[in-house]
Amino acid sequence: MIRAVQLRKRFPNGADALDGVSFTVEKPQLIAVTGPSGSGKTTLFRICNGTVRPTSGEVDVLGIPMASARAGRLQGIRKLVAVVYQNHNLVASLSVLQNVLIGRLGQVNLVSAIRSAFLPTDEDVRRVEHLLDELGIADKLYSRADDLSGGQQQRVAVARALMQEPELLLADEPIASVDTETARVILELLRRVSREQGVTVLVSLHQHQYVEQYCDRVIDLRNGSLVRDETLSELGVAT
Amino acid sequence: MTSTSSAATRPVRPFRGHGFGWSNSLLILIGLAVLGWSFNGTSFSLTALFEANNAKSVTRFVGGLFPPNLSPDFLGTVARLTLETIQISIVGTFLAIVLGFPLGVLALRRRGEEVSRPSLGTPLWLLGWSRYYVSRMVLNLLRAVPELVWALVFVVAVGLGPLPGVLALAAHSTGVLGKLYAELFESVDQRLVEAGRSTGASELAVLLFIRVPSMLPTLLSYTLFRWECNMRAATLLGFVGAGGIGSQLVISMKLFQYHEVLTLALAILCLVVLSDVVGQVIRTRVLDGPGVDCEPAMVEVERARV
Repeated sequence: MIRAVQLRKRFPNGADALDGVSFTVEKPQLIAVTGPSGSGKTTLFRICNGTVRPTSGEVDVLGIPMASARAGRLQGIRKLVAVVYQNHNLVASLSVLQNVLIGRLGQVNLVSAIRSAFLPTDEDVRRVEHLLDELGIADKLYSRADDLSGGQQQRVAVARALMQEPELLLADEPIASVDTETARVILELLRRVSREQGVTVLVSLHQHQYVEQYCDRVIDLRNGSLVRDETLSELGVAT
Repeated sequence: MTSTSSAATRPVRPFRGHGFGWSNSLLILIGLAVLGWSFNGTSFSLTALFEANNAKSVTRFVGGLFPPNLSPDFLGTVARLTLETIQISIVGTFLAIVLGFPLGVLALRRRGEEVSRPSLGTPLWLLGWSRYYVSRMVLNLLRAVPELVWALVFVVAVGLGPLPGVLALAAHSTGVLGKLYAELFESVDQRLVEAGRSTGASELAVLLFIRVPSMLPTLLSYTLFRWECNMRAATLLGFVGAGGIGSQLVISMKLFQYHEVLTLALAILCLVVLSDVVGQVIRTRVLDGPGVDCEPAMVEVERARV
C-alpha cells in the first residue's frame, strides 16, 4: 500500500524536511504519525499525495512510484488518496453540501460535477447527509462553510475526504484545533473507516492518549528522521 | 553566560538600514526631478485660466450653458441616445466577460510542484508556458489600445453607429478583464488549490469549483467596476462616430449650442450616477448582504410544510 525507502526531502533553503525515512504499510491500519512541529509529518503526507517530490529515495503509493510519476498518473492516483488538512481548506463561499461534493471531483466528469454543484441529485444529498450525520453536523448541510465554527469546518473537511471513497486517507493534524468532543468524533470515524471499509489512514497527532486509544501503529519522526515505528500491541497497549 | 547563549540562538535580522538612507533620498530626488520635468513639458500654468482672453471665452461658454435645453424634441433625442449609451456599455461589457474569461484562464500562471517540468514532462510544460505567454501578449495588446482608438478602427471596419462602439469597448475591456481574472485566479490561496487537486480533479474542475467560487465577490466587483468605466467610455465614443450620447455632444459643441451641451452633460451625470448606484446595490447584495443563501428553494418549502 505504501512503501517508502530512504525518503529524503531537501527544500531550496537547504533544510532537510525528511532524511532517510523508510517504512512499509501492507494492510489497512490507522497509523499515527507523531513528532514535534517541523519534524517532517506534513512533508511526508505531501510526498505520499504527490504534491511534493522527494529529493531522493523511493515511495510507492498503491503500487505507483510517486517520485517519478507524471502529472496524469498522479492525478489518477490522487482519486484514491484523500487528504484532510489541518486548516480545513474549504471554499468559504460554498455550502457544506457543495464543499463535500468537491471530494468527488476526481471521479465524475465535469458536466456531472457542475450539475451536482447546482442541482445535486437525491443520491448525492443522501450520501453527503449520511457522512455529515456520522460527524454530527447533518443540520449544517446547506450552511455556508464560513458560517461554521472551526470544529465544524474540520468535520466538513473529513466528510469531503470520505466522499472521495479513498483507499488511503492522509489526515494532517485533523484535531489540532478542535475541542475534545469533536476530536473523539473524528478519530472514531477514522477508526471505523479503517476497520470496516479497509481504508489505510495515516493521521498526524500530538496527543499520546489518542494515539493509544485509537491507533494500530505509530510512526514517530524527529528532525526528519524516523525514530520509532511500532504497532500498539508491541508497545503493550490494547486497542 | 546565559545572555551569550540566548544571543547565539537569536535569529539574525538582515541589515536593511535605518530610517532614510542615501538610496531613499536619491529616489525622492529623482521623483521630484521627474515631476518638475513633466510640469515643464506640459506648459502647466494655473494663471492661464484667468488671463483676459481665456477668461472671456470661459465666461461666454458658461453663460451659454444656461438655461439647459429642455424642449420635448431634444429631451426625446437625449433619452434615445442615453439608452443607446447604456446598451453599448452593457453589450460591450458582456462580450468582454465572454472573451476575457477564457483568455484569463489561459493567462493563469499555475504554481506548485505538480505543474513543474519534472511532473508534466517537457512537452506539456512548454505548452503550458506558450499558452501563458501568448494569451498574456493578446491581453496586453487589447488593453494597450484605448477604447477611442479601437472605435476609430471599428468605425472604418463596420461603419458609423453603435456597433463600432460595442466592439471598441469589448476589445479594450477584454484585455482589462482577462488580466484581472487571471490575476485573481492566481491569487487564490494555494492551499485551497492543493486541496482541490488532491481529490484527483482536473485543472479545469479546480478552476470552476475552487478558484472561481473563492474569488466570486471580487470577480463580480471588478466586472461591475469595468461596466461603470465602460458606461463613461461609451459617452465619449460618439466623438468618433461610434454611437451613444457623445455623438450629439460633439454636434452641439461644434454648433455652439451650449444650452444643449448642459442638457447632455446632465444626462451623462445621471448615467454615471446610475451605474454607480446599480454597482453599489449589486455589490452590497453580494458582499455585505445578510449572507448568501445556499439553501435551495425546495428546502424552504419543506420547512414551511413541517
